[in-house]
Amino acid sequence: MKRDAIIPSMFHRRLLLLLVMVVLGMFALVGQLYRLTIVQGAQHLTEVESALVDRELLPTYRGRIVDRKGEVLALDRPCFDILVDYRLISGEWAIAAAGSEARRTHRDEWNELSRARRDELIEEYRPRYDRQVEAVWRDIARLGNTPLEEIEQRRDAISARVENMANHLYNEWRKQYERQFQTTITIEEVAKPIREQRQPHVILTRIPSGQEAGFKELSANGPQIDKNQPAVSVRTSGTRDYPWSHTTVTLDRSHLPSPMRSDEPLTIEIEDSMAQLLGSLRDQVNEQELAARPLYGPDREISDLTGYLPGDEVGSRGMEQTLEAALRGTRGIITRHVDDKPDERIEPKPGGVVQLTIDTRLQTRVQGILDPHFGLTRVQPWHGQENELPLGTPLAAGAVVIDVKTSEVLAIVSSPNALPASLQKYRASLKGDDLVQFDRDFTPPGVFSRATDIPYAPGSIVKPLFMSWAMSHGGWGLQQIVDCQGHFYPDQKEMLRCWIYRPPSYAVHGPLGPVEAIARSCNMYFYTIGNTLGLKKCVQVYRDWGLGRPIDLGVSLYNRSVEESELADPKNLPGRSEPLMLAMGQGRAAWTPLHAAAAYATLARGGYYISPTLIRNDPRGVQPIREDLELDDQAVYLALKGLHEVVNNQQYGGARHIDVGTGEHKYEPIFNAESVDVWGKTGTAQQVWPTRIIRYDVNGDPLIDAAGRPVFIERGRAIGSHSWFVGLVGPGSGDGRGRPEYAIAVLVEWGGSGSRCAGPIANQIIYALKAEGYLP
Amino acid sequence: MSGPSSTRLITAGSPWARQHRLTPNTLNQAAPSSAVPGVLWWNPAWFSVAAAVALSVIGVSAINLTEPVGAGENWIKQLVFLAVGLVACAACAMPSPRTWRYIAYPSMVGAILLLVFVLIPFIPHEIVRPRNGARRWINLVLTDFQPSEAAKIVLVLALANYLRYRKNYRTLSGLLVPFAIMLVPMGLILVEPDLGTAMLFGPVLFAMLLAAGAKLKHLFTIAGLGAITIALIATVSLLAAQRDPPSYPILEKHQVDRIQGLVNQIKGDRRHADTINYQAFKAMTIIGSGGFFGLGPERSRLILRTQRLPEDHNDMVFAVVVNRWGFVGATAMVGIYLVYLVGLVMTAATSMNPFGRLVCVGFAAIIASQMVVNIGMNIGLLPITGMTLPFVSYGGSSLVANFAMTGIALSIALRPAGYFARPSFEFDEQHEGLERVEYIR
Repeated sequence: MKRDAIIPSMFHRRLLLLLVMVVLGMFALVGQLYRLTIVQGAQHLTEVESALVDRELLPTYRGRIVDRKGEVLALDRPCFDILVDYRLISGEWAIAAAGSEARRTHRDEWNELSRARRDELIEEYRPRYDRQVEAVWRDIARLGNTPLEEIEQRRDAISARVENMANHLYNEWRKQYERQFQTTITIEEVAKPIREQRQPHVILTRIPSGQEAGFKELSANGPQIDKNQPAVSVRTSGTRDYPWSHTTVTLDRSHLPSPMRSDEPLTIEIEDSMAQLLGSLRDQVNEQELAARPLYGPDREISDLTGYLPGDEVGSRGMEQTLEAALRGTRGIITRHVDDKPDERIEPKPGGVVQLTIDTRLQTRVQGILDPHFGLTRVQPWHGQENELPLGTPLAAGAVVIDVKTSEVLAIVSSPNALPASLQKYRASLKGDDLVQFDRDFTPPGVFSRATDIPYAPGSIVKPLFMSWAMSHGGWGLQQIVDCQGHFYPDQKEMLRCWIYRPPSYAVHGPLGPVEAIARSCNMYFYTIGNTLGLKKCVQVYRDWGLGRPIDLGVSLYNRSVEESELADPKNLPGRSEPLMLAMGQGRAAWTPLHAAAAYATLARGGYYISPTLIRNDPRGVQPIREDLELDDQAVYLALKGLHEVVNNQQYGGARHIDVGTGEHKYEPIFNAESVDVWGKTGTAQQVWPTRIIRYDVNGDPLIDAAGRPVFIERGRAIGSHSWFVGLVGPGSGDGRGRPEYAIAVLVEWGGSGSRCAGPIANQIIYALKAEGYLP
Repeated sequence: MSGPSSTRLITAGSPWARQHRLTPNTLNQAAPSSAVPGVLWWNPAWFSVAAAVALSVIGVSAINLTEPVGAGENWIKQLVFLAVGLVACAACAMPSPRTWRYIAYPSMVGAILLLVFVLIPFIPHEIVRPRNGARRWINLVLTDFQPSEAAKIVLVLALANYLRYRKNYRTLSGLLVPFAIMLVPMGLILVEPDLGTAMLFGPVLFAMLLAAGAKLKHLFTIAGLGAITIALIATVSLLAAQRDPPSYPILEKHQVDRIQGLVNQIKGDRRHADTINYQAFKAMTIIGSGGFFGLGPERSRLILRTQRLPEDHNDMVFAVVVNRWGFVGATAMVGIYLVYLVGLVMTAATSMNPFGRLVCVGFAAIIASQMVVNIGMNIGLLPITGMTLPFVSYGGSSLVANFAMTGIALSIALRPAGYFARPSFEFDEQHEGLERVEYIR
């Protein structure tokens, strides 16, 4: 059929062509419309609906930390934070306000003005608003009783942080786009204000109740970012308070060694006794923490109410850090709808209450006992001159008290618990390798806990543990006798000697059974055990008694196993005498007072190991390790009997009495508490001194030179010794028939003799246990 | 032709003409006396009028949604403009097509003078008030008048008048004059600047030439070359802008940004979603959220309030319509546009007046182009150019001009057969030399 026969006119055909073109265009439009409304509709709806609600976060409160008796150790007290909108900080508000005024004033001609002329006009009006901003900073400083310079520093810090964050995000976006579109993208192309550049930031915290009124007035009358958005705002908050951060303890001195004894109790101020344990909060959550647990998800929507916002406080050390998740709490949120829907409110949930196993009052007492002002942790005449330290030199020490039944830690003390200010300053000036070297040499007190962080050679305190293990698993007889001739190798009198085999008398113990071997701490007996067990079993002994077991107290802890430490290093291939040395606590194994106390508690439980705990019902779900060492009952009995003899045998008990150094050879019992049974063992663990040590004055303060550096004593590679006492105590009549209830470990760094230095401290800890009602 | 048809085709030199001794000359001379000058009341232009009113009501309703309840004034103004538009429609329907033809050229001159007037720099701001650097409006106290809106209409009238009995536009050189007629107002409008309105002139000329019978190969070649030129300009501009330092040899920076924005937008790249593509992405989001049936008046009003879409009552009103009535409503609205266009096309098809025919095609081209470009930019297929959605967007000049066009089309439809006319727009290449004349009883 001819074309003309259908539509005879060319004009009509052309009309039809035009109409078809329009209809095709309409189809294209409807197709895209379908894609937007139907295919992508839900996504777009979500986006627009998110603008229909206004969300306000409600602050939460950090949970309390309490001790085993419910004493509050850390809590949040209500206070106020002062926040400043970033647009005021960045100067953007002043420019915007000047721009508004310029536009208002030049309303008629504004549309015709060039960009440059508009900028000129804005600059003309700007100084007035800059002055307003400066006045705001002055008001904040005045109302907050804070120097203006400090406020300005904080402001600049916020600015630097937010700009860094923005740059970081821009870079990320840029990379993302470059990956997506395979082309080079500039930062300017992706830069747009980030949320933090549109938010208020904390400039002052912990403004006490009552002091916020002035800030509220400033908020109402000061610059406004928007109609209902003041540039300065006041937010309800909480400040972390540690009620036991400063306290005093009064200690009875009537049971001290006689040169120190007094009927007058001594009151000692205790600062930050719990600081190392509890840790602290940091004002600003760092970027890693923010990234790991952000409050806003990748879509910039609230994804986790327990998450962080910039400026949040966060636990930075100790329990505050370890238990951050449990303590932190969950923010609340008010969702206000732009429409008539009622507001939705999710109440904030305060952080949980965490209970520690510590007894704060006992802890404070032990802290006082280890305080150099009390005297037991200063070099005393009766300590002997093993370490050649001047009399009165303060000694660092650590002590741990564990409940035998549960392995809960009652006290865990390190002294001094803060680095002296002068050393803090010096340490802060060090960087890189110098800092590492300083910490390696001096393991600064206050930075490292003597009770949990630093491993020491155990010395003789491992002897009963070795013996009971060897009797149970190493084929060592229950009545095995060793004839001590002073040295282990018959032909080498200078090597592997017994401690008694010394000039001028070169005494020997002669034949000894197990109980007496412990009581006399005969090295020969334990060299022989070590020789019998061999290296592999000696390592196993340490492992079974807890060295290298994963103890998770929630605070930092030296926790390497024997194999992972020195013995595993191929350069340290053990010689034939290594098992012998390990068996008497010297070899290449080292542990902390916590390990020692846990091991003795295990012995007291008949060989049932329970790893020590510091947190009750640990919210992290950490459970103590429990393991039966399958010790022979007789072996445990003999070890405990030996330990009792150490403390009580008047004839040869190694920790029975000490010469108090009056020059009259006056011996006094180390342990003089009544109604208790004490089992224990001293240790004098030799260790190579650091090549340098810090020199102290008579007051116990470090000597500092004119340049602010500490004065060092160069020691070369001299050998010194740490002082140990580890024991068990329980109610009893002193005859050893009682039941051990508490394990005590005391370590005095470079204290020399275990009996003379650490022993009297352990005695005072027993009195502290009595004072707090743990012992009769 | 035979049979009882109301239309009889009289071909000069045909047996019927010879029998009745009719020559082309006598046919022309006979026209005034032999024509049936009655008014054809029931005609297809009423579809267009009805569609225009329906679209305007939708527009008023959509504009109302963009304003706070009880506090808006634009939708009331638009209602007034609608009333004025209806009066203008009636007024424009009254004169005969011949009158419109007579005033076509003088109006063109007048429109050009007005376009020049708004560009004169020393005209006081009370009379010509620049907005955002553009000089488009003349202050009429009660409202503003936009000469470019009038220029659209008179361009169509002038082109129709020029093309009605010519055939030289079937050659390439013959296309020069129509192009020149278009370029003068278009150039002035570009200087204002008003790219959106200027962009309409090309499709209008194309449609009118196509309907008038210009050779397709000429038209599509020119259109193709134009498209290639635009693509080249865009490409060169984009490449120059990406150099270090960037340069803008052809287009202004903001225009290159727009092109770059569109390219990114089509690729789904949201980099500029908060800057140069803000309006486009906002519009797409608001449109998408409308879903199948729309969100209803209350929710839609809330969303529009919170989304802050720039020009939501004006250029971006389509986004409001989709948000309120959804895919269904928007498709129905496009359908109403189709009804409007079909009304004009049927008017052109049934009219015996070559001038009227082309006028209807030109007006249809204006409305169709505006609709396609406006909806296209709302849904992210075309760059934002500042073009209104006919009958729906807020604006007195635009609405009244659109109703005036509808009125002129109604005038043409009411008087389909004025007189015998010389044959027009019929170029049968197989029977060159034969001319056909249509006659409507």
